[in-house]
Amino acid sequence: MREPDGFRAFVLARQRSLLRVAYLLTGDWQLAEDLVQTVLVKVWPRWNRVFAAGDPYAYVRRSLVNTYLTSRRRTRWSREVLAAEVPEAASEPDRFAAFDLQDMLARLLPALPVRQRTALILRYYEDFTEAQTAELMGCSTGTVKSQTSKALAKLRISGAGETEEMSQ
Amino acid sequence: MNYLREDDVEPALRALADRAELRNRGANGEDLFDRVARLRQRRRTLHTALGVAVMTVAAVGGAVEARKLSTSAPLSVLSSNGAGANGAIRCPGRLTAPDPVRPAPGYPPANGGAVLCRYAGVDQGQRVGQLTGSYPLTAAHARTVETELRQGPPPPRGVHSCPNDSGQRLVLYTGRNGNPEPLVWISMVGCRVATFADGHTFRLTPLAERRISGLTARS
Repeated sequence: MREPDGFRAFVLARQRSLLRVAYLLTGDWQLAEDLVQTVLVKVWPRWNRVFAAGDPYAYVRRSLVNTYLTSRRRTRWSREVLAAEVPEAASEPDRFAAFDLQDMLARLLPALPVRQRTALILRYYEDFTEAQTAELMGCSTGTVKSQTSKALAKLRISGAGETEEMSQ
Repeated sequence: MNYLREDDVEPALRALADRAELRNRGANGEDLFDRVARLRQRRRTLHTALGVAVMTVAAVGGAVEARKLSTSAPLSVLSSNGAGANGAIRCPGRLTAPDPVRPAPGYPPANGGAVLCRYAGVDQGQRVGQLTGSYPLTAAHARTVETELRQGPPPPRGVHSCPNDSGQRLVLYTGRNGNPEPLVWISMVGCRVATFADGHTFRLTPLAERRISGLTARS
């Protein structure tokens, strides 16, 4: 089976970025790999057109987000990562873990609703504008603003709650 | 108090992704591209197998349907006076469209009414090419006729392979925006072939001949 020109080089160059975004969206590395693979298989037959249109990475990333959101609507990605479970949790309780933002985010991020999590990642990790995020998510900029605000509020509230518990 | 500030979000997300990447690096020894290629090949094989299955079902269904059509009541012929099934198209008075030697541009789909027109051949008491019969059809019926005609085998090679041809022709016209466009020229004599406007020619099958004869027997 002949591969399209430049497709292998694209995958090699961008797989890390795609996997990282997919991980943040899905909360699970294996799900992230499945998502990226699915998207690349879909892009494969269209590669020549995608490449000719310019900025293939933007196209593939948009496809990644759309595939993720669509699959979540169909509840195919059924392996929910529970907020209470931290895959990399230390074997011994660490009283300082609550003050570790990474651990807090690892706990709280998967618990966010899909669209809030997606908006948060696109705005803060991918550094898209509200308009770019709205286009990717297929919604209005107002919706992006509200989803992002709600996500931040949940993280702040949950984070404040966790630290308050630790301080008592 | 350690609140999550807006400025903390981006670096925390990056650190989270870094940690996951480090933890899973090399977990799957196979290169991502190779996995994608393997998955694509598997899907193409599955699609091919499904396509064959669908075509088999369609062929069986088509054969069953053809048998149903041949044993059921003949296709309706609304009138033979030149009025189309929806009054939209009429037969041209003469066989002006020649047998195509090249595919005609804008091959017409059956998007309107249709009419089967008979034109005289030699020694039939009328001018060659004169309209002698008109049999309106609905677009759906025209598609059925088209389907049956396209199921025939390739035409015989060589001019000496066929009996004498009187030149009598039947032409199926379909309607496009109220104008008749020739879809297929049918010869029930001589080589007994159907030649489509797209240049393809098929020998008439017994089913197709019965269909055409049934349609043109009414007057």
